[in-house]
Amino acid sequence: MRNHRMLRINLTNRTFTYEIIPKQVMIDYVGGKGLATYYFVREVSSNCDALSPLNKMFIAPGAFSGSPVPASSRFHTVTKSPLTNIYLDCSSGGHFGPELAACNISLLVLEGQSDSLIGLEISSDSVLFHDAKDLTGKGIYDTEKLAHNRCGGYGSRVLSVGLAGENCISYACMGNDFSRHVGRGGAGAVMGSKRVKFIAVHGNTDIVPANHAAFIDSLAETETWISKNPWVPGSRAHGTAGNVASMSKLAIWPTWNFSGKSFDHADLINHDALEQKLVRRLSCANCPVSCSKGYRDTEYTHGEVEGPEYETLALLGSNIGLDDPDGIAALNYLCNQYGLDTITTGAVLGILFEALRMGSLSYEAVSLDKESSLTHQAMSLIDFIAHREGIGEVLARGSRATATYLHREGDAPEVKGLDIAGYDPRSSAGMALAYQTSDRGACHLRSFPIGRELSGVLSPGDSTEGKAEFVSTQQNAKAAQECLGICQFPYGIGINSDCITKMLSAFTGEEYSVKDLMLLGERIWNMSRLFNCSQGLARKDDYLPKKISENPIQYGPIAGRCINISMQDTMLNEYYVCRGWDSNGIPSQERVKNLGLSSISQKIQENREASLTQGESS
Amino acid sequence: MRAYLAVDKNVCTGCRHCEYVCSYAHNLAYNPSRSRIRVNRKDCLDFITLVCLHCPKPVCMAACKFGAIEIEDNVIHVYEDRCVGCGDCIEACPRMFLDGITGKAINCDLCGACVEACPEGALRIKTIGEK
Repeated sequence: MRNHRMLRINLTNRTFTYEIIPKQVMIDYVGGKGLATYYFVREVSSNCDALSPLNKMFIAPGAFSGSPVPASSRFHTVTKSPLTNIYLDCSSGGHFGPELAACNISLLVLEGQSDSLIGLEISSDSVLFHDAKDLTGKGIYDTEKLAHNRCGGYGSRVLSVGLAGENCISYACMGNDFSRHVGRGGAGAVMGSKRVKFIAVHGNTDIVPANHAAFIDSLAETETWISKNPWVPGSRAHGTAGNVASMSKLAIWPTWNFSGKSFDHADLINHDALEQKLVRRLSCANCPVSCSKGYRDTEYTHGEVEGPEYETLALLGSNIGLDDPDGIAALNYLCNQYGLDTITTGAVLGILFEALRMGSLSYEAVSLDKESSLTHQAMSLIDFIAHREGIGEVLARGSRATATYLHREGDAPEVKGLDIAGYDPRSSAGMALAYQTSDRGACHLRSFPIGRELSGVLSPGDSTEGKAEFVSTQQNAKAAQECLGICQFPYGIGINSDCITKMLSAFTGEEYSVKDLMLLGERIWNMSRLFNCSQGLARKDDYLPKKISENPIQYGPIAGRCINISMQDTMLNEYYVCRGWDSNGIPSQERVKNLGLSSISQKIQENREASLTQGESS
Repeated sequence: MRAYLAVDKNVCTGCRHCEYVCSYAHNLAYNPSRSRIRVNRKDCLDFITLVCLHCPKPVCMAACKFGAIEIEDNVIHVYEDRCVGCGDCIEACPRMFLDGITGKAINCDLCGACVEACPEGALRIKTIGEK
């Protein structure tokens, strides 16, 4: 295996160092999520304030980044979340990750806090600190263009924050390639707290596979395998928006603030509607699927987006009752420019609009014009959030805080503080468990049992049978996949073919089997759980909110379905057994030892105790 | 007859696979900063894929003070030993590039490696006058 470098940037002192990552660490943790998580849990105290200089940001391209492995552009950001106060891992495709790899950087660590707004320009052998005070308040699209001008032209790839990041909104994201965002749970707020406006990277490193012939052969094998994936043509044709038609018919997508009530206008915002205004198709680096669809809102903002993607169509569409594709694209564009997560923004707006419709809150009290369109009202609220103005100060703290403010505790559609994505867990016991146990809070990208429930591979959505084993295994497989930076659309979720391990072995020069990667996934899953549990997270945090647990779906083919607390308990009991965790959801010492994580577990405790001794608490 | 690498901009998705394949074909290493075809992303939905057109009156050749760029059999060729990496050619034409490692001028040599690899079928070597 070649030498892999870590770049540490101290923002307080404006200094940087390169370190060679120990070979055994690279072999064991491979890249992406694994590598970033390993260093995060060792170096950040679980009780630090997420927005303090003590928190760190770890950015890692996947192991295949910088190579032409199909759809291998994803990079990961790992930090402590200001929204959930626990471990936060986020990923994005695009072109930023491969460019970081082209700088010969396998892990970028941002430490400390700058005293003024700066931009970082990273090349293969240096870091420049640019003053960025003049970019204060600039949107992400504008920042990216200005960063190109200042740092290497179009050859540079830019990760930046908008006003939401600068204002440390707890669900601020970072943008790259204009419309691609990473960081729901507030990675953008962490960047903003460190006063980093942008990171521009342009590298010139030769990336060479360890075994040329085997690598080229395995690439060809993988391309053939992907071309036979029956899901690829749909993703290629319609992108994630293609899910709207099926998920709305099956009553799986969230509607009217996760009320379980019917939303009758899915056909107005499905892929057919969007494709009538398709501007062009776009792609992440080296992707043969090109699921991305360019859309321009010609009604409200004249802004452009890649999308709107399915989650945005659900959370800022059906969940707030909006059936206007240009309206959703306008909200998407505003969120992109400010750098706000569209899922949490949709969840927060869903709660607020329901309160307004029920009359428990007046339009005047939140400075909205009752007569204006839903799109204009939502645009105003997004402005308020990004500026922390008026009701925006409450909404900026997330759905839990919003529900509490409205005296509706238990009504926020979240687990561990992170909002439920575009698949209502009432529809699927498997999905409910996936949300309950996801490492960063309710996330749809760790395990996705819905498809297998519908196809009959797993027991139906109203049954708990077999869900714990499936979800825990798939979580491990997905965590392993996320070390490689490969996308689940062409590859499916997990390590589903040995052509992946052939590529990895040939590229790195180290032999990997599917079994090795599954074990890596389990180790990652336990590291983040140990980190979370060290600050008190346990079984009590592994439940769906009361609103979801106690109110069934009210329409469509699964009317009456609900995944109640008893079903959640049944699945959790089985899940903890599968994981080797105790009945309170804490990893057992025996499993920790068997996974070779004893010293990491000890390090997490030591960091916390040292931090508490020093009087730093969150 | 003059030939050049034609990019179908209605089909290209900007995945930049060509950049990786090109750099490997010429250097046995993946390194987009050494590619002879490049995708410039200007805005959210605006990008352009640039590659040498082997035009008959090349501005790059006119700009070069060192005689490093010549046309031979309708193909523009950079003589690496004469190129000093001054960058005058890339200022004259955005379809000429500097190699990210050697710093010398590089342009498409019509090897065709990217044509076969493009997942969208957006690239082909076209002879002038051909539809």
